[in-house]
Amino acid sequence: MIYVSHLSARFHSMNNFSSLSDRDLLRLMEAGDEEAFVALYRRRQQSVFRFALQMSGSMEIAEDVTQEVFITLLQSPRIYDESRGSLSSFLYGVARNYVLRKLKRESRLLALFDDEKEDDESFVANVDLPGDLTRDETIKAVQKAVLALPQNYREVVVLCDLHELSYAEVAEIVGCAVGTVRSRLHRARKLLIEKLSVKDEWSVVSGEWSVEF
Amino acid sequence: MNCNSVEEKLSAIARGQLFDAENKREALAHTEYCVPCAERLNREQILSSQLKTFTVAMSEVSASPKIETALREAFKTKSTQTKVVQFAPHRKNQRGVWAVGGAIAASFLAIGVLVTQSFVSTPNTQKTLAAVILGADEIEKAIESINRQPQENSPTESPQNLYAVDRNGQRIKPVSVKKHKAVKRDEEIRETEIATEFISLQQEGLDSMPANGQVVRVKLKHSALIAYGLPIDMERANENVTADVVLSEEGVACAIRFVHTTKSK
Repeated sequence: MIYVSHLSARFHSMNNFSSLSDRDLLRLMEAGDEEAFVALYRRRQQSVFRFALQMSGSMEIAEDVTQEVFITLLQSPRIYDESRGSLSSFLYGVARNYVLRKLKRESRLLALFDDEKEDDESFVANVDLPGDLTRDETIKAVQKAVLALPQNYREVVVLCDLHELSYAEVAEIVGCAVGTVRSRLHRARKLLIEKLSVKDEWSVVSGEWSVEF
Repeated sequence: MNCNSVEEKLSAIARGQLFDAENKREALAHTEYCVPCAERLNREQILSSQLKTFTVAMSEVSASPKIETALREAFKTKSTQTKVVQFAPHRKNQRGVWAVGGAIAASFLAIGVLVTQSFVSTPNTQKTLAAVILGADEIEKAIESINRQPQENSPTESPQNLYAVDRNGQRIKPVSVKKHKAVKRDEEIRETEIATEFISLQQEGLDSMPANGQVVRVKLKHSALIAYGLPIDMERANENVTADVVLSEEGVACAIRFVHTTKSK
């Protein structure tokens, strides 16, 4: 309690939470500090949301998952055990469970493959058309290729390559050995190369690969 | 160094994750005379660039502000939230009975609605609500019984003494879950109840049970136990058993448990 009071005083003196660690914010949150909870949410929501979006391809699922992850943290902050890893990894793990559950239940994995919906539901940031047409195509092709991967390959690509987490962190989130993460990533990248190379064939000029971004 | 041993290293080089200088030098040296591996490295590098482009394009994507608003609300209400019903741990291997369980739960719900509505609404309202779930004939019979009960007995009879009937005309009396742990009906006979754990009637299991709920006691055929994987005595298949159904605030049947009552002096 003394520690929490100290944290609270530290916040009030600096008037922001940026200097506090995730653990400190969690403690303040447990003590009933709503702003600490919001600060923690703002710090971590984007990675959770993007992970859910890249795994599901659905804005709706991503928003639901993000909300559920932080509701879980709010209702049961003690289920996070800091001795087992960072809060960030913990949130990824919770998000993963929710995403897989939703994908299994709603069977909406292939939503983005519906051509009619593709333009409306594309979740990537707006690109400057027409100057970035090639870049836009590349982004959409990668998006489709990632979503077409089997779930166990997709999650390691998303976590290792898109979120740039280490093998050890991903192993902890996914719940498997580091070697398994490495081999899954290797196979996943092979599959991605196969899927994306069909699109890029037109870019081969004089035996050399050239893809514009 | 052969192609198999260099393959993963090429992937690591393209991802910028091969930090061992010696391994990196050997792998790159291999690609200078091995055309397939050189092509593989090229493709890996292209893939890394494509993934990087995708990551950058998504860097500004984030959840909508309404999520933060909802979470603030959740934070505010958290401390005032109290649970009416505590649920037992989730039972596994119950998924095969969702459909049958749902149908039976709908019947319970209808009976619960009849009992509840008999206190607060008109016969027409009862009929409309319950007919959605049960057959029209059964509803007519049930409503008739409910309407008849006070007239046959006494016009001043209190609501607590009103009874609904199930499909066989048996009386059903709603009982609060808080009241039926051990009821002493009279001075000589003591009733003890043994209940199963709550069985979820929802796909999400007991973990997603509502924080606030209502428990309604109903009776149903002994044979209904089959749907929940519970053992039954076929000779008693037509007899009634007692069950508690948990209703959410919206009136959806969420869970059920079966209750066995023994009498002793």
